[in-house]
Parts: sequence; C-alpha cells; structure tokens
Amino acid sequence: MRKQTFFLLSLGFLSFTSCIQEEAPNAECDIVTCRVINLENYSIFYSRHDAVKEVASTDSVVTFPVRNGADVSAIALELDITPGATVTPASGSVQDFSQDGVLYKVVSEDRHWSRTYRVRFVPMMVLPTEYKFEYYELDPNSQKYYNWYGMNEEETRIDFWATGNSGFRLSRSSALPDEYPTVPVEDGVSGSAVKLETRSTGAFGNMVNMRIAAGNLFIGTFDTQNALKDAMKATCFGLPFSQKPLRFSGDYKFVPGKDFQDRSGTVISGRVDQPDLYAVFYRNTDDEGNDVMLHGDDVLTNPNIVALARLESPLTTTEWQHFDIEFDYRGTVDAGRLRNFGYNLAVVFTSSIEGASFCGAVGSTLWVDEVKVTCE
Amino acid sequence: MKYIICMVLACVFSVSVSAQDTDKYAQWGPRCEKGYGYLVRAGYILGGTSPLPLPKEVRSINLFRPDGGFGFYVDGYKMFSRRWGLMAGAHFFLEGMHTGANVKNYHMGIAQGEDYLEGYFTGTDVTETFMAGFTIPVMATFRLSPRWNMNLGPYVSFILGADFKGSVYDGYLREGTPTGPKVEIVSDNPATYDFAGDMRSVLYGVELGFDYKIRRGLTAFASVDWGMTGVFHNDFKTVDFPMYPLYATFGIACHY
Repeated sequence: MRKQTFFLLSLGFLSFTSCIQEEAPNAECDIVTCRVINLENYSIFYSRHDAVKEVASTDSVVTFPVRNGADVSAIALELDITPGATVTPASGSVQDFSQDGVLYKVVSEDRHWSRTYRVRFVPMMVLPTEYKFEYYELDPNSQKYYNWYGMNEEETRIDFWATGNSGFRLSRSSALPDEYPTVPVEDGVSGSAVKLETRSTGAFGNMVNMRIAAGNLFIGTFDTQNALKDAMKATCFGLPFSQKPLRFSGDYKFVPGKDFQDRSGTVISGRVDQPDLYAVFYRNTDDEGNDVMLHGDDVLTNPNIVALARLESPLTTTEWQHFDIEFDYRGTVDAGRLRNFGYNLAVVFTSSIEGASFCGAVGSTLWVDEVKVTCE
Repeated sequence: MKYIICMVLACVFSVSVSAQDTDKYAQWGPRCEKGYGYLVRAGYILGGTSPLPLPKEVRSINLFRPDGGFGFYVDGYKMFSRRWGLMAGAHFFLEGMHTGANVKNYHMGIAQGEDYLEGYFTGTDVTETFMAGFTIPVMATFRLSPRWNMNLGPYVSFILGADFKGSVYDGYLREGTPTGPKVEIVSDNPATYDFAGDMRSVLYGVELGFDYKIRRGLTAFASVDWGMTGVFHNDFKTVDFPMYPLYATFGIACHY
C-alpha cells in the first residue's frame, strides 16, 4: 500500500513535468535568401555574387544591383523561406521585374502571419560624394528613431546611411526619437546637421553587457540580427563606389562626456573620451572573388583597405571646426575594378572611439555637417 | 487536477476493503484521550515552479535539478471522530530548482523601469528559482486505515526570501511579433534576467499529504503543496502564463 501511494504520488507529479504538448506550426514567414537561377550567363550583374542576396529580417525590400540597361523582364528567383511557409508567386517561377519589381507574399505555416517583400533589380546605386544631412525621416516601421538618406542627381531617393539606432530601440523602448544616439539637429553649418551622442542603454543594456550605445552614422548597413550576438559584426561598413577618393573634409564639434567607462561599466578616472571620423576605401572582393565587407573589428585594419583618411587628434570644441584630410594610399587602384564597382567606400562617424566595444563616456557628443569626399 | 482525484480515489478504494478491523483504529490512534496529537516532520522537498500544464511553446526539458530542498514541519491535530479530524501546522521550507528548457516561439515581455521589450523567443531558457518561508496549512485529516492518514486542505505561505533568475541563449528573439526584427542571442553573451523583485510574498494553495505509521511514534509521510496563485504579482507581464509552485515533500515524522 505504501509503495503504491508513493508510486502514485510520483506518477502524478511526473505527469505535470513531462507532458510536452504537440509542437505548434511555425509562426515566422521570412524570405531568408533570394537567388537568381535561370540566367545563361550573369552578365546583367557587375559581379556574379550580386545574383544572391541574403535577406535581413528587417528588410522588406530586396534590391539586386544590375548594370545599366540590363534586361530584367524574365528572371526566376529561388527563395529560401521559413520552413512550412508558402510564397506567392512561387519560388522558381519566371517573373517580369522591369516594372518596379515584383511583390512576393510569404504566409506562415500556422497561417496567422504574413510578410510582403518587394524584390527589385535596379542599376547599381551611385553613391553621392557630398553629405549635408538634410534628408532624414522617422523609421517607417517603428516611428521611433531617425534614418538618413540622400538624393541623387535625378532627385530620386537613395539609401546608403546606416546607424545603430535600431539596436538602441531594443534596449530603450521608452526613448523618444530625440533621445536616440543619432539624431538630426537644426543648427548645422548650413541647414541641418547630425548629432551623435553616446547614450546609456539602461537596464536592458546591462542584461547583455552592452551598457552604452555610441552615436554612429556610416555608409553601409546595420544588421540588427547580429546586434547582440556579435556587435562588431552588426556594423557593415561600405557600399560599392566607382571613383578614386582623394580628400575627406567636413565640419565637426565635439564635447566629451564626463565619466569614461569600460565594458563592465567601471569608470576609468582621468580618461577623456574621443570621437572618430574617417573614410575607408577598400577592395570589396578577395583574390578568390569572395565578397569582403568591413566590420567593427577590422574597419581600420583589414588587408583589403587601399586608402584611409582619418581625423587624428580631434579637438574638444563647441565651435564648428573644419577638417580636410588627404586619403593615405597603401595600395594602387585598378581602373577596371573601379569601373565595375570593385571597391567600397565607407564614411564613418562615432561619438566614442571605442564605442564598438561598448567603452566610452555617456554624454560624449559629436556634431557633423557639410562632409565631402573629393574624388579624382 | 484529475491526477490528484485519481490518486485519491485509488487510495480510498484500495483501503476501504482492508479497513474492517475497528479495534486497530484505537490501537494506532492518538494517545491523548481527547484526540489531540502532533507531528514533528523533517523532509526532502522536490519540485519546481512551472506553468501548469506546460504550454506548447515548451519543446523539451533538458535539465531539472531540485536545489536545496529541505522542510521542517510541525503539525497539530484533533480527531473529532474515529476517522475524521482537523490538522494545522507551521511548515518551514527551503525549496528551489534549476531547469533548462528548449522553447519555440515563446512569448515574453520584459519590463525594466519604463522600458519594455516584448517578443517571441526560440532557443534555450535556463531558470533558477529558490524560495524560503513558512506555510500554514489547515487540513481535514482522514484515517484511510488504522495506519494510513490522508490530509487535505488549503494553505497560505509566507515567503521570507525568494529568487527567480535565469538566462536565455542559443536562439533568437523576434521583437514584437513573429515578423519583427530577429535578434540572435548566443551563449557567449546570454540575456540574463532576475525577477526576484516581482515575486509575491504571500501564496495560497492546497496541500495533500499521506502519513503512514511505521510504528508507534514514527511516521513516514509524503505531501504535495500545489500553488493556486502564481509566484509573480498579477501585473507582471514577462511571461504570458502564471508560474505555479508545485513541491512534494518526502520525509519522516515523530508522532506524539
């Protein structure tokens, strides 16, 4: 009898802890990868690597850069999507992309969620060389923080600026748009300027050992997916560029924050924070033809870097200070590669020089305006 | 609940045939003629704090380790008839657990001051809980047989110290909805949490216990404390479902 009771007791108890219910169908509905599959040769692209796109979870527009005048009227895309999800039009079907792209709708396995992507084939973006920071808007999805963009000569919008603002949003959901690390300000040298301020990421930042967010603005992309996993890899610096840069100039102001802290949040007395302003020009493929992208951990050291212009010993000043630096070439520029967008240009500003490793002083503020990359 | 009912019925049924000899009730009954008696119990506590039943978002339990489970209980009772009585006591307990689970699309929201992060996590969640305090149960006690007692009744627990902390890693969060930004979280840099400050200090529940008189003055017992209130305050929104404490105690009592 006693054995029976104990057995029943333990059985009753175990039945609570061991009853794993049946797995629910997937709720996600992402396009993970897009791949062009039906072309005889890939001559519509500058590089065959451009025929495959990894799609970030935050993207709803997928852009394939192609040569001017390329025929994009009959292209088949193979789509890798979330397991169980369905996509229309179907993966592998031939579509006409000549009219502003094609909309693909992905519906999750559980049928509760869907996402619509626009896939476009557009001529390779020509990066502008003057940056006045006049064009910005609240992020259309979240309405929480600002994004910057530019206009080309045909007055069409081009997106090439990235910030870490989307990462900051995860830690400080209550922050107003003007409380983000990278914000626009009215009183620029001419029109608006951009203000980068190192901010505390609060209790959430503490949870993931990332206590500060330096203000940053750079040419490239910010990969939110990697923001916690490997923050250095989240900043992808540079976009294809087909001119040879010679000088990097602009105006800045900088005021350091009070207490410089290391990654663990310990104040390092006596250390004064510094900003960082530089432009990097690098080969965007290696000798085997693989893509090369610079990240936070190698943006100044990668062997593919051809030229670098970096503001040495920036001043602490509340008055606009002009800088004009020559690109320091450590390699030669191949004209053929240049024509085929085989180089990337990254222009980078940050309010804390060690912000990528979460060291800096909360309150360090850098203002930037009227930046220009003079080319040959 | 149905498990408990089945268990009780099984016990009642199995003893109803064997409990014919009424003289033995007196032989094994309380020494005090007025029907008073008390038990001093010491036991090992096993269990955990869990959503009940487990939600479908929990895909597997990889690790379950009870931590520091020890109880020291004193119960007094009064028999009103040969077989029925009332039991009440004070149970001091230290109980905890360490669990690891794989979850899929587990909805969670974490508040830190004014900031709130909400989303769906897929990956590994490791939790450590610990509670110390005392429980006051008031139970009906029923003699199933001369040597077997069953006790059942409500309790109130006063928590003196509690901890609920853990981390999530080896997975990703979809911020907001399953279509929101995907943020990967790796074991090198897990997201840690500590919700000790959001725990209730008073909990209610039901206790069910069985006592077996090994010999006069010595009793073996097993009991289950099943929490009817979640361990967190009602306004705590981190996890979608209430987390109930469910702890079993196995031990020996001196019976006076």
